[in-house]
Amino acid sequence: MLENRDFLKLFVTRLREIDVDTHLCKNVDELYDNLKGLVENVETPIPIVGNGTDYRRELIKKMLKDGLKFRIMVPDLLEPFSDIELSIGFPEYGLANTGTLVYKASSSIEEVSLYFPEKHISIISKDRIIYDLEDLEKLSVENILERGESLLLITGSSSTADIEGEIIRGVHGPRVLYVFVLEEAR
Amino acid sequence: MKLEERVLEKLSSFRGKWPILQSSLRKKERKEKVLPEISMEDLRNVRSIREKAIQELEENIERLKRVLEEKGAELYIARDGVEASKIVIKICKENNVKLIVKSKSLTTEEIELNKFLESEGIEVIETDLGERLIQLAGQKPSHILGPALHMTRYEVAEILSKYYGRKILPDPREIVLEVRREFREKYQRADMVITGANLIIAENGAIVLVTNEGNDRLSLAFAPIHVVIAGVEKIVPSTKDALRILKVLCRKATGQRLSSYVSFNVPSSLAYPKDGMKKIRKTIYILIDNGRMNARRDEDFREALYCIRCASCLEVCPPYNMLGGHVFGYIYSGPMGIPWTMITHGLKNTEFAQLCNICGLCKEECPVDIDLPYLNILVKKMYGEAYGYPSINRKIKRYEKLIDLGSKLPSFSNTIMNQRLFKKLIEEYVGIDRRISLPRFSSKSLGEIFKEIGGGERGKIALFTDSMLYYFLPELALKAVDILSKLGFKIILPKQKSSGMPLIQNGFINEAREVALYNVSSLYKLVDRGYKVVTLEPTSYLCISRYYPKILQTRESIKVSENTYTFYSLLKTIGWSELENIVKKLDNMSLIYHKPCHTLMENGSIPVIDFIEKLNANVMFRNAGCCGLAGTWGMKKNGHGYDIGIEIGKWTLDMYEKLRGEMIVTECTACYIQFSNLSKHLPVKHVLELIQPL
Repeated sequence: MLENRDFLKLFVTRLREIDVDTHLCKNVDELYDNLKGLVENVETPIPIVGNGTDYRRELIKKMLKDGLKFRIMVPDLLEPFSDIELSIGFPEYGLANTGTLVYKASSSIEEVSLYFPEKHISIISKDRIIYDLEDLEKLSVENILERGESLLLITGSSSTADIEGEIIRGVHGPRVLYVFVLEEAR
Repeated sequence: MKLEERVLEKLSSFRGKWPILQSSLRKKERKEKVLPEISMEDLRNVRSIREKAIQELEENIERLKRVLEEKGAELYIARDGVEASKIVIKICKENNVKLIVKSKSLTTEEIELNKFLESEGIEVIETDLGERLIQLAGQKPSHILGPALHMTRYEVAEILSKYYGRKILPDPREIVLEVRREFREKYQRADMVITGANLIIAENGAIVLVTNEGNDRLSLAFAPIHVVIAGVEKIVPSTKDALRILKVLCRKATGQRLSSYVSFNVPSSLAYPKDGMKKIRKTIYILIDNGRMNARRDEDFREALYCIRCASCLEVCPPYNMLGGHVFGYIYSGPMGIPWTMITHGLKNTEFAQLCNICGLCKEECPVDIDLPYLNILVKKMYGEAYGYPSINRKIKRYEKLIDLGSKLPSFSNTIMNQRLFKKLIEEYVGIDRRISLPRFSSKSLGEIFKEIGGGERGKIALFTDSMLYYFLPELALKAVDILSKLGFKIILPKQKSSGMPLIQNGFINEAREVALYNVSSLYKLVDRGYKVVTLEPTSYLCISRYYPKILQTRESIKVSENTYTFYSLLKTIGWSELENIVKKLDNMSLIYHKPCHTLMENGSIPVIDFIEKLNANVMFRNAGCCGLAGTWGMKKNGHGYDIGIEIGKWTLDMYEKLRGEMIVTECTACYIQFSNLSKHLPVKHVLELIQPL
């Protein structure tokens, strides 16, 4: 792994520069408190994708306890798709210098979950934040591609400037992107 | 309709709005923050990756083929668009494809694939909003990244209202919502997705897709068959190479550190099940040659293949910004569109190259340092030789002769040259627009008043001017001579012809070669005896240092080039302190500096700005732009140059007039004349006019 540098501040700055609604949370309890308001009134099941970290498990437990509707998207459990309002993802890495969320995907089910909804929430712990694209090089991301998985780099919400150069959000992918950064190293 | 008529029509429809220019300016503003994050090393890396990738293209294709076979994907190399289209149609028939969604479609625009597919009764949906709009309007892209940039919101609303059969308001948010709704259903129904690729990685077969809309991922997610159609030149050896290119590409293309969606896709991904069944997405790569391999074999045009499609060259191109790609382009547009049209669609479609004024801003802006102006000069030459040089260009060649002739009897020339009848005659025979105010000849040319001067203890200088200073403003050249002699140089005025830029600019390379040979022969003898060549005009420097070695390819031209300096860069090498004892200081004047297109950056700085600042003036604004004249280009009558140039000049001047500067200063005599003619309120001075001896 890379040397342990703190890129948290830069990551948050960059995300805010590109209009990503970014929240810093001290621990999973605080994260859930912040998150709950966004997810509790969602009508459709919330797909959950991304890496299997302990904070993901803790969060799912809390959602179960509160009876929230969600659906864990696993590549091997494909099922026909219906419209979704919001999804939650746990990226592999965050790139501080660009405000990027790095996901890997082994099937379209993960991609659809990330790209289809109107809103998306990404949750990442600070120890997964690396500096820049060059660090992906050092982490040998080519191995992900070797294994037949896709690599998805998301930097802000979906946007277009095709009409008179005016930037409009949400033309295809999510219109609103939330990022919750867990300050606890996990 | 003739090219010059299309120019006038487009200028008239864009006038006052300039949608392409406005978009370029917005991007320029966004880029200002992120471009300093790209180092020279980053740029060198990208250039070297692209050079190597093209050098080893055959090996990379073989490697990619092996990798794709292992992953169960197919690879075809199509000789041209027709062959590629036939392959796609065969795949469609075999798989009963009825609906195709597309994204990253520039290469399929190149081969006009949609026409083939639609003729087979297949429904094709472009998913990029801009692409979709031009698809519905039945137009070609006007910009390689923003295909519908030329459209207003009202035009967009009209197109969509017609398509949906109900009123769509001219509100971009409303429009985006409508399109989003429609596409969600199309994505899920699609039988096939066709994408281009920003890059293809040979070592693992991944394609890299860069978008801001996210249409690429949604197109890919649902369709069970994925056809990749890309130019062969898009292959890079490794993931590491792709990451390095991305760092530069996104910043240069849109001013973002990274575009919203960058994905690396390998052929083995599962498609989303429509029927509850898991399916490995069938992936077929069709790599298109369509002239690229020929270009690769050409010493000059090989460089065009290094292009990473950032469109930076379009955004700085003054005529393109006024006209857009429907006039300044074929399918590929703007400066890069000229060599690319020649490569992919043949010389016969490159007439629009005449609109390039060879300002060279595109080369300065290109992250891969492609010498686009030189390639565009070559295209003009080849076009002229194959189809005949445009008559306006043959006429404008007579400009230098007109100046020579006029200078013989300056006072007579000054009397008649701005008379209506004379202007009509020179429009007819020299191609100069009758609306131009021609500058007045000096009563004596520089050659007549110049006297060899200076002791030479510091060195010997051969002064190279150009016809503008030589015949019209020799007293300004003498100001430079005065400074140089006071600094201890011996200055001589060697035999010289004008730099030949009008010939080079219009693709008359053979005649330009004669001029270059004459000047190089004269200067080489002096350089060989220890003289430095000093130029007073940016264009002269550009010709001697860059174009003469290219068109002559001789040892002599290279040596002359290596020993040529601009007046200001020579002063910089000496250091500025001695100037204080020679010239008067200015009183903290606030100046708007206009950087002429042909003034080259030297290690990131512009010596003329240092010079002005050493004179104690405050350079409050620095603009790398175009005055619209570009030598003789903006003199060419009507839509051949004048009408475009005057709009460029007015726009630039308007921007300057909004600033609170005391005057505009510039070191290029053509820019000086253009702004002097156009400016009603703001004084304009040549930098040499600022010099007052102590």
